[in-house]
Amino acid sequence: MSATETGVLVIGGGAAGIAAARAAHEAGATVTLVTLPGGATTQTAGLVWGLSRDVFRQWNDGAFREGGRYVTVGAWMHTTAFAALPSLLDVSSVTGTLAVVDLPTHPSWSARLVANTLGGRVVSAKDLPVSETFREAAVKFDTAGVAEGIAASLKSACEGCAAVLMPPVLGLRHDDVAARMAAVLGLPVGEAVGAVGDPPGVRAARAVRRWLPAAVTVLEGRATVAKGGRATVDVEGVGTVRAKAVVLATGGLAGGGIVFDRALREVTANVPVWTRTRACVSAPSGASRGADPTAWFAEGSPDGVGVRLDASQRVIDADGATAVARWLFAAGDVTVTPAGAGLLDALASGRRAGEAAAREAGGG
Amino acid sequence: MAIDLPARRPDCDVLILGGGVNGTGLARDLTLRGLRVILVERNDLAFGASGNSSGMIHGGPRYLTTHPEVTRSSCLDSGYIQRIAPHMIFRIPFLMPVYGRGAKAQVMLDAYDAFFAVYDQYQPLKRGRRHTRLTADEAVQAVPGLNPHNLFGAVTLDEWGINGARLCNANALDARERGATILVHTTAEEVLVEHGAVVGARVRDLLTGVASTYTARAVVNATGAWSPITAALSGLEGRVKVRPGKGIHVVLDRPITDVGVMCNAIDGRQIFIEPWGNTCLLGTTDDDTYANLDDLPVTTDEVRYLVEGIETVLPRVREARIVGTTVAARPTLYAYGPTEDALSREHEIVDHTAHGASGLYSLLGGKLASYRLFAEEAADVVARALGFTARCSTHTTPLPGGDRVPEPEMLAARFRITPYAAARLITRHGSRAEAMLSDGGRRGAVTVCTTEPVLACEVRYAVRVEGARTLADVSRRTNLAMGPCGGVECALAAAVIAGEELGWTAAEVRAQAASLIEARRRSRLPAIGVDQARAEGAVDATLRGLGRAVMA
Ligand SMILES: Cc1cc2nc3c(=O)[nH]c(=O)nc-3n(C[C@H](O)[C@H](O)[C@H](O)COP(=O)(O)OP(=O)(O)OC[C@H]3O[C@@H](n4cnc5c(N)ncnc54)[C@H](O)[C@@H]3O)c2cc1C
Ligand SMILES: Cc1cc2nc3c(=O)[nH]c(=O)nc-3n(C[C@H](O)[C@H](O)[C@H](O)COP(=O)(O)OP(=O)(O)OC[C@H]3O[C@@H](n4cnc5c(N)ncnc54)[C@H](O)[C@@H]3O)c2cc1C
Repeated sequence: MSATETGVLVIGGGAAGIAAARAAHEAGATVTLVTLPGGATTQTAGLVWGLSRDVFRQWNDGAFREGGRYVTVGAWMHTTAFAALPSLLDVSSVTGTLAVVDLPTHPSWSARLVANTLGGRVVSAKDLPVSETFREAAVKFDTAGVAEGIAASLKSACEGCAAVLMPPVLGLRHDDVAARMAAVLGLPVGEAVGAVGDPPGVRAARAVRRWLPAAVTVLEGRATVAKGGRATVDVEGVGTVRAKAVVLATGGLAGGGIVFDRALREVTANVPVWTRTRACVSAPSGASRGADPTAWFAEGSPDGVGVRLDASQRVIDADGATAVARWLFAAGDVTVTPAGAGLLDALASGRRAGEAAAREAGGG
Repeated sequence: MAIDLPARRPDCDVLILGGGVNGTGLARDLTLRGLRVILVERNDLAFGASGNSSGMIHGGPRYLTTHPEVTRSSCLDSGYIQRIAPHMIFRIPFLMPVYGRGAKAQVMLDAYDAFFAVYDQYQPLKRGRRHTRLTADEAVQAVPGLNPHNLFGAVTLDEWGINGARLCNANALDARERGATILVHTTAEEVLVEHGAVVGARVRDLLTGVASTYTARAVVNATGAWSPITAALSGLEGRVKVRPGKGIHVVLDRPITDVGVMCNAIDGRQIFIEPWGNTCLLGTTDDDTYANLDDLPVTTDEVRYLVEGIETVLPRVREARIVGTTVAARPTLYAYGPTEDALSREHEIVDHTAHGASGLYSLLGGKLASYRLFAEEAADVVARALGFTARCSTHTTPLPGGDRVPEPEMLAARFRITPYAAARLITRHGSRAEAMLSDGGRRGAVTVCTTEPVLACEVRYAVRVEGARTLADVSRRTNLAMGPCGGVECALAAAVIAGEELGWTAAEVRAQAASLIEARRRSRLPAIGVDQARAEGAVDATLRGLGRAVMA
């Protein structure tokens, strides 16, 4: 197989990789993105961490607490990265009664509990789909007319309320369910944040994917950065790609960019891994004695572990100062991230790395 | 200390300290004999050795050559436990492989064979099967994946297993339903002695911080490895000695073998792997411990020691996913006195009259397998001292749910749950599963934890009927969150249900869910491997979503 040439090669198609590809493309580079399926971006709860750190913090320490704020998100969107936030409901800004909608068979949604702590009122819809999981329920809400019908049946119960809070079921395939319900009810409709993998997370992943420009070539397969001084990447089942710059956006432990196998390793480019405070000691793979994971956790959460960058977004070497190579950049969870880093941090760092890589590719 | 003793009837006849199998077993026995009992447990029922043992109701083969009467009584009691809790007990066939060649291996195999031929005589007492002797080929057939290299032969051995936490809860529930008061998260802070006689204890509810005093005619220290500390609460420092031996288990995500296998660890100690419900246990270690018994650490060292040992007989243990560890301290008797009473080798009842505290007793040692017998002996002593003459009936009266074992398929069809969920529910609750599902209605049959599985009605029951006060208590009673997800999928759902019962705010619901997820992580941390490490990112994300700031 002959080698393919590209300006910027992005490895990893999560939030960081997509943002990097977009930024590099917008900066004028020819971009190829190679990825495996899965990764953290596909598994989130759709929580908007850092949409505004403030909002998140309020949610974080207040959750449902009296006087606290409870941020609910419909279609997952970020004001600067994306177009709009059509159904973000900040409960703290609701003056008047909040109608909390019951979902009878779901074990982790207790409208009574939420309403009690928020000072809202429990309302029940007629013909609400009977489901055990939020995903199952969301599929039913996707069906044309169902959400509108439920909204109509809620109308009289919501009389006098200022806003309606739904469990996280507002559509799996569609992003406009909250808006459709709001139109029928004539009230803002928000959606409580659920757990990982719940419908808002699925919609968030879709919103991120939409961010990838059509002009970017996408390859599927496992990428390995070849040893040696050149920006050459082998893609399993595809062949060799030669690039002017490479962005490593392979994710953390969840994405597969970092692997714990008696020691923590970065497995795509084989570059040094760091915790937030120090370099991880490497151990030969297969050794029966090696790093003690308890010690590693004592230093912080596992998602903080990753490669270190210099100010120009380049991956640095074991000396903690020099870049591994002029052409190797990184972004997202594969890097040492601050505590609480999430989707938006991945997008932001992806954008920085993509711009830097495009500069390198353009100048080379 | 002197207290104002009101001239009134004491709050109870017997105050029991400690909610392990011995404390709860005694509470049940005394209640059945008509005594009024209060039991206080500092953590939760089965928090200590009883909930973290290997769970073997064995017939005491190791006493076979020296004290066959102990083997006999152990087998007999194993039979009684089957009678009173048929739903809980499950058969564990074990294989003891013999490796090596030539005369030495032959002698070893012959010795095992002869030994277990003698043990076979007692097996009928516990409905146990006779042992068999296998060639190397037969052994590999019996245990697929058994290391065939240098394998000479094997013998099989039949034992029974039980979930110790369920056993404690069943005993406590029966006592409670017959009038006893069972208080969890309530610690004895001081045992009150007046004029050489025990009069009660001052206790504190560790969740609310509220202290109270219970008066009693007798107090029993059934605090296992904690018992020397507990004795010191009544000024009896040094009067009670045990030698806490820490033991851990490694828990795999599924049974990688249907047959337990014994082998030797690197230091020659005997260790084993056993199928355990829908998981598998590797055990165990035995090390003197001086650590805080309320928070015993598990180390990477201990885990690797067990995995390395088991790997010699079952290499695929390396590929299995470890979902957690268990740890507890055995209340090993400090020194085995040179006594003719064979049972004192296992357990001992200390009457503290001679130490200036009449009416105070300490239960030392014991095994899960012999809890009923130990409780009976202790109840004989305590009841007689208080003038009660009723005889023990714990060997004939079924534990709650043990009267009848429903058919999983029928239960499944009737309540529209999976036969597997029904079967798991029945092992924990026997005939009570029916009422639980009927009361729970449609919402009750919803699955909360998919790996175990645990249904919504069981979570509610754990709180309402079995007295759980935290989400971790629910987990101990139901196995909730014990699987690979470590609570990521189910902790919040379960906390919502428990919160409805216990009046938690939504913030408390989230905090409880986060605490359980963190506790599960602590349990598996020393054993984390490639796959589990990959899943830890999701755990962090979940914790953050629950409002926990993950460590920076
Ligand atoms: C379960 C879970 C829930 C979360 N919930 C939230 C939330 O609600 N809100 C929030 O803001 N944040 C959340 N986060 C954090 C957030 O998802 C991550 O910070 C972010 O998605 C990281 O994006 P990334 O692009 O760096 O990595 P990833 O999304 O993991 O992407 C890495 C990609 O690289 C691919 N890859 C890896 N190695 C190779 C290779 N050698 N060759 C080719 N491809 C490769 C992977 O397959 C994957 O597709 C959550 C994280 C997890 C794990
Ligand atoms: C690793 C291991 C494996 C084992 N395997 C087996 C086996 O396979 N078969 C078998 O028969 N036996 C086995 N055993 C032994 C068996 O588990 C114990 O002997 C038995 O459970 C002891 O029960 P207990 O009630 O005396 O103690 P525990 O179960 O330890 O209970 C003591 C309780 O007292 C409470 N407590 C402490 N201080 C106070 C206080 N001040 N106030 C109130 N409460 C207090 C504690 O919280 C604890 O719950 C094993 C033990 C271990 C550790």
